[in-house]
Amino acid sequence: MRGAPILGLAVKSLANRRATALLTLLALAVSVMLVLGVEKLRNEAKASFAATISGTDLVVGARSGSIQLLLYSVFRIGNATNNISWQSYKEIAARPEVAWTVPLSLGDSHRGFRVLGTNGDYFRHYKYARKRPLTFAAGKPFDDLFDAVLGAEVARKLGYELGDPIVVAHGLGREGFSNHKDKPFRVAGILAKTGTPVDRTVHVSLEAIEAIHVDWRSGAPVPGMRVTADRVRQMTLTPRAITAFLVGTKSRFAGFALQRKINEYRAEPLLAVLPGVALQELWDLMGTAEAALAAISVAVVAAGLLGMMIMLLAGLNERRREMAILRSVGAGPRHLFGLLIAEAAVLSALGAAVGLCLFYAGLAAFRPLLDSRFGLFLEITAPTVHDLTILAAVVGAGMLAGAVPAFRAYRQSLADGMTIRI
Amino acid sequence: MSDEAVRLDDVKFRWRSDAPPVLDIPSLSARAGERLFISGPSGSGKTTLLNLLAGISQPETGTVEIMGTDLSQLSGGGRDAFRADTIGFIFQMFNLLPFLSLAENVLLPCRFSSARRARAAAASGGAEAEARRLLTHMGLAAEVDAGRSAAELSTGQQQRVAAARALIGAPPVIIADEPTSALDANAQAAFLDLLTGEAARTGATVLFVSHDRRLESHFDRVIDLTAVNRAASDAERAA
Repeated sequence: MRGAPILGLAVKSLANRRATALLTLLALAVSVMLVLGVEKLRNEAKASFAATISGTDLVVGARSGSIQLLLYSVFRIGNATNNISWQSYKEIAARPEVAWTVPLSLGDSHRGFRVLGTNGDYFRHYKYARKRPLTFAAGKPFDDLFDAVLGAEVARKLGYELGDPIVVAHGLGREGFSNHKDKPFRVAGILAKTGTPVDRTVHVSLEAIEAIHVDWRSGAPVPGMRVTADRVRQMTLTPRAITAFLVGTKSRFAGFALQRKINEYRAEPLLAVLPGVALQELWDLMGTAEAALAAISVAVVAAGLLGMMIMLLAGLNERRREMAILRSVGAGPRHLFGLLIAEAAVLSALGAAVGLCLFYAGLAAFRPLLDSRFGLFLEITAPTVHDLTILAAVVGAGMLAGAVPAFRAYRQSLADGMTIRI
Repeated sequence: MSDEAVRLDDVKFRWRSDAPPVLDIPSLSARAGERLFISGPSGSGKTTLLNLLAGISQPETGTVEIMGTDLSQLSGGGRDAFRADTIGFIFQMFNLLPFLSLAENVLLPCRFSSARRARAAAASGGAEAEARRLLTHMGLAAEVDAGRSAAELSTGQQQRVAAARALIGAPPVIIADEPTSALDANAQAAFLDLLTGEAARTGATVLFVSHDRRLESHFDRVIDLTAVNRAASDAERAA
């Protein structure tokens, strides 16, 4: 007969003030939804980020920064400052500790998507998430010189199907006048969705990259020099240089040794990075923004709780009669303290519950948009332990915030006693 | 001693130590089952007396005994629990919580006193049934059945709900603070008959505070608070 009667009174008293109580609840629910949403985005972004590349021991490029190398070779963001000569690549690929390599050649684009020159090993050795290999949704790896393999999003957004012709633009601009329309490609394969930058990449062979640039020098077509698509097939198309390459080593230990050797490579300034380490560095770089986002969502929850505190405090004066009646039937100041704490607990628990519902509703509503606009695929999963901890923390903080009006009610009831002040 | 339900000895009370006393009562008592009319105009220390009897305020000196228990021997929480068990209160007006049903209002003391809940249950086979019986006895069966809220009742009906609340679980002491001042004469008499009749049934002592001396006839004894409270007479003399 102690805790429960107060809780029942708290619920009924709140229901009696439902207009303000509902608004307070809504503010809390929205703030809870926001904090859950931010956490979901943070975790999913981090997970999808870490899942971008897997099973690769080293990423090698021209000497620059490790983050820059990772950005352009794996994330297709930004540009390489320099290339690697084909000869250096061949030399390193031939080393005994190397199990496999995948050459990468970047620089062209197709309607906003990067074009990547590589070879068939890419489809065998590139792995993402937990060592998942790339799979084909349709077609097969490139076979002909002008075959292209599209990432899932490229095919979906541009509506391409197998056999469609595509024209590659020189450089990274939109449909410029600087393009390779004399040598169109044909869609030979479409990859299954991976949730990585692979989805936004057009893959062609290294030879094809060489072929479309055979009559170009310094980023522009050479006047009067026109090599047709048919004639280019007769030419030797060994690349002169590539942008970067991925390395798989025979053992993890060999990877560290090879990294040192590549970084001390005499013929050319090269940089080899461990993708896991570089990914972590890159994520740390974004850590500030991530922390700021989390801090803002926590501040929004604090504002919601503050609103609740104000609502409860503002109501106390009008509730003096209620308090006096409760005192007369045997309630002590501690009961009134408990009443206010219970009201805060009910409000914040309902706020957390409604916030959770809003979060799932929002997730269901915005999932397609996030997927199509930002390539961020959010799964609808049961609340994690982390989510439940957040909800419990909101209720806990709510009760703590309730202590302020509760203490005031305690003091007020000591001063007023059973005197009904109107 | 055992037949005295309420006893005050040498009770002095002041709000601050540098303020003049508002209450100075050498002696005041009520026998068990007695119906005592305490006549007190405003300024006679009535509110202070009620708070002392309820155990909400503590006297500076002297003792307040209710049913043989010296309230100063109890802790704050103990006095609250003692009040819940022992005293039924009726205020001048606005006795009811608007967000509770009439029956819930009547059952309110049972939330804080398991003794009263047990006694109420013993009387009618269940606390809810006893609340229903009291409300019916007060002539409010139709209002309960119609699901009326406190705000939909007339002042007289509200006071009868408050009386049912004070009576539920048969507390040995009923304290009423001007409960009839908002009622017309007919309603006043009907209310007093109900209250004193039901109190007599359980043997409860009734302390009825009012400035309206026309109501004296319903009571066994009359005390003039301005005569009993030396602080009030001092103040009157000073004025």
